Amino acid sequence: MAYRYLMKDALETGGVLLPDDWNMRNAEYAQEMNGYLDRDNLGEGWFDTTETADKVFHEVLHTNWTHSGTSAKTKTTGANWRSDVKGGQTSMPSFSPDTTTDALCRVEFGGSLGFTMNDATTKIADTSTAADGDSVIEATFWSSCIQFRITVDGIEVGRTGWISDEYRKSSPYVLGVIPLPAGQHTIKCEYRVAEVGYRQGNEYTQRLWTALDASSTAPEFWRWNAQCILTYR
Amino acid sequence: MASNPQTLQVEVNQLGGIDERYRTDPTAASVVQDMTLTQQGTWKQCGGFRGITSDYYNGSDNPFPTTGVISSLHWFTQHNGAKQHLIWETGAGALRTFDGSRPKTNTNRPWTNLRTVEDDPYDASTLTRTIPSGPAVGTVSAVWGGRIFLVNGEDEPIQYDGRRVMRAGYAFPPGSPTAAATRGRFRYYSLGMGTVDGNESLGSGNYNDKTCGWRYRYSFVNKYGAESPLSDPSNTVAVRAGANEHNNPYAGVWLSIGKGPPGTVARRVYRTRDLAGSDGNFDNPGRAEVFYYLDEVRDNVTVTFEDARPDSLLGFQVNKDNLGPWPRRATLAAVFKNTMWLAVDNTLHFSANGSPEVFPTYNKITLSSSQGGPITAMYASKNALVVFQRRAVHLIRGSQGSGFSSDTLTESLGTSAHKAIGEVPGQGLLFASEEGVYLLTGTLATTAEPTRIVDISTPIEKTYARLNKSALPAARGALYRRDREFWLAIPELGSADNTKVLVYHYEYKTWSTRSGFPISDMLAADDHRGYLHFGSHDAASHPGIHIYTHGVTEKGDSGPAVTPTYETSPSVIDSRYRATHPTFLHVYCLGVGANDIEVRFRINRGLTQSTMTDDGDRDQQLLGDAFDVYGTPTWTTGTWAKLRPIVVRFDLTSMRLPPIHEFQVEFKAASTRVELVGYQLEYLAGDKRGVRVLSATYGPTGV
Repeated sequence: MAYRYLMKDALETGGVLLPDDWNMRNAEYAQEMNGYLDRDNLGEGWFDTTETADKVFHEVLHTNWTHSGTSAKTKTTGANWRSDVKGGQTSMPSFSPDTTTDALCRVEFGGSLGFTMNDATTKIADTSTAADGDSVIEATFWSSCIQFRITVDGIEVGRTGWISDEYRKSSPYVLGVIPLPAGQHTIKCEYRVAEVGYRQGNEYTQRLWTALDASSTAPEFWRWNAQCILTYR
Repeated sequence: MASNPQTLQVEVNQLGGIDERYRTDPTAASVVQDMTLTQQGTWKQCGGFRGITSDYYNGSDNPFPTTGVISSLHWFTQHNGAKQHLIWETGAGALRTFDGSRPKTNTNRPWTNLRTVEDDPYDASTLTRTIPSGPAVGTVSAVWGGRIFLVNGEDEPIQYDGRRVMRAGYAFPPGSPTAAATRGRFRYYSLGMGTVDGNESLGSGNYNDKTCGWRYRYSFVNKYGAESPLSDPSNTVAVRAGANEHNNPYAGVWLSIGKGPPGTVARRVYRTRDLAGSDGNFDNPGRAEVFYYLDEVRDNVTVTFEDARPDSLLGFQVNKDNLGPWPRRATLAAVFKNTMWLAVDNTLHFSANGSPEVFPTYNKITLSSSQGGPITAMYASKNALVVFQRRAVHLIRGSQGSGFSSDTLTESLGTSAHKAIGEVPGQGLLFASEEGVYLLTGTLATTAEPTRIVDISTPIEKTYARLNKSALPAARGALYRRDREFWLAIPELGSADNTKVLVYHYEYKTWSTRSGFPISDMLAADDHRGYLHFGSHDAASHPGIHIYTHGVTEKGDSGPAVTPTYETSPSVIDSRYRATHPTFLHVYCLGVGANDIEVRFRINRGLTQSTMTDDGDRDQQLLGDAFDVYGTPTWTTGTWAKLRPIVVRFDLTSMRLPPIHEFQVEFKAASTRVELVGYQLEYLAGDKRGVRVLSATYGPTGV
């Protein structure tokens, strides 16, 4: 609330000419402008884009990559989230913004993803039936899957569902939004892989990819695009 | 032996404040109106006030409608003070925040109606706040971090984070969940439950072909992490775990949970351990009431929750008594020792440590005094939360770690003016009771400095006696640091609104008064500006919110002028029992210009005043060395001046006046500016009976 009032005595006709009356008035305005200006004494529409410096209100960090002969192949060992890839790139997109004020951070990641092997013969069919013959128990069908997420300072802000190799190519997209305090931050795009067995409804189970030939079946990227939009407050 | 009359002088070097007692110090005053006591020890004119945005856009236009009053006023900051929020309630029940950037038109005012998380506006139409119809404390606020909490004992308690309004805490626990065994296989993982390696299901260890049972509870969680009370337990669900992944058709539980009220962002689910004994019977009742953290549903959409977590992966044990609802009909709120305190009737409820919205079941203190009655005011000061009843003062001391306790300080006086309490720097906690104004001094702790209640209103007893005691809750107070003043606005006589401002000049420990300030609520912002804001109860003449400032000389836009008046107490010049004859008055004041200082005299406490001079007015300039003043010089010829104390002399005559025993001088400014230091009075006193016979002195020669 930066509206400003003159706190020095009001001038009046017949009053002695006191320079302090003026100096203090000017000081009040100067002090206000040197750090205390805000919405309340800047009217709507007083400034337009031509009067604001670049990146005052927003900043866009962006990275994209398109293969030039070599794809970026994901790694399939372990069940943990990871960001390292091999081939055309060594790591998934990441950003390290260093903001001087609080900001609203919006991160999005998208890419073109391919599964090398989507042949049904590579899948493991679980055809066991329940011992008690309960028909509700269905045979599971393991699919090689990959899942993506975005973390900001370790906090997960967005995650895709499991993307199966039932389609040869997919286009994952994930978007996350989080407020950021001023300071340096780490924004990472990560993935994890697993074999997921879908069953009725939304139920599923998962297990490590190790049952498959990791090297030959790892999903691989052909391009990706990531951007981080910082809206300063 | 008779003495001849002689010229004597009395001098007052420091003009004091009001003292209405019959016998008082000669430096005291009977009237100090519209003046402030400066750090230099001078009395000068006080400021006026004007609308918060009055000449920001269009000269003196006031953007506030003349149809409503300001009911309550609140202020808080965020981002280390960089973002400030001035919030108010209108008499119609709208809840608004100041937005100075908005141009003033009939449809676009410099404010915004606050909106809930569901985007409903507090515009006195969609949502309306309850406004008390008579003198009342009204809505009370307490600031916690970057949020402000508002309670009034009528509406649901709310909190505002600078963007949206949402309910403060939870009023009720969730409804009890429903649990059902489900057909499913949860051998390796289940929905987001993490990894469960081995042949385990809900129960821990090997539960092959065993009947198990569990109960569930859950709670709502809002975006600040405040947790509602726990729901009642669910039904006990029986689950028969199988020997392997294919013959355990009932290895999981589907839990049906409800959605929380607006503002809820998650539900927290708790569960017992397996209630069944080895024989599969639920004969372990001791476990049935012990719940452990299970998981959090991080949305307010999902209504089913799938559980397949073994007992071994349950979290902490939850104590249902550590979670409690926001107390209903809380009328007062205060923050003390990282704890939110609420007053409901004569009971204090205090929150969990660091959780202002969670009120554990047993976190309450019921105050007892001989007269009983509700808690009427609270103020966190130094080492205690000071709690007032109408006729009692209690101190709440302690901490969350050691426990809080209540000590009764007095049962002879208290206050019902919650918003007229304030901390006076270096002196104590000022509060206004029905009998007078008091300071609660000391550290409010067990130290060498005792805690005492000191009456500071004795000098203004007559003025304070005009207080409308039934309207005392409407009184408002604020510390105005710029001028080292504590403002106490009180309703007088039969008025329900505040009609007079008593100003306590705390560095000199003295009083003056002001009138014409239609204060319905008042606050001094704690920022670098320290503006004194007040909302008006006079919507017809001075609608809206106003700022007190020395930069204007009127009380409100087009309002009456500030009229600084200082009248000394009745002084006995020589002797109360012997008449005197004032001859000269020398006023020691600052040479503020060519505008007159006016003096009038009151003899023997009479009803009327006298000039006792030719006209009673003189320029506030030094004769023979006057400085340039506004209105006459030009930029090329005028000379900048400075403020200096000067002496202005008035020649007095007491002709046609009765014998003078007591004498008062009133100083006023013909315009607005005046600044008084002191005065000196010369007078004739002494016996006149030493008459010399003319004929004896000047008789014919030779006699």
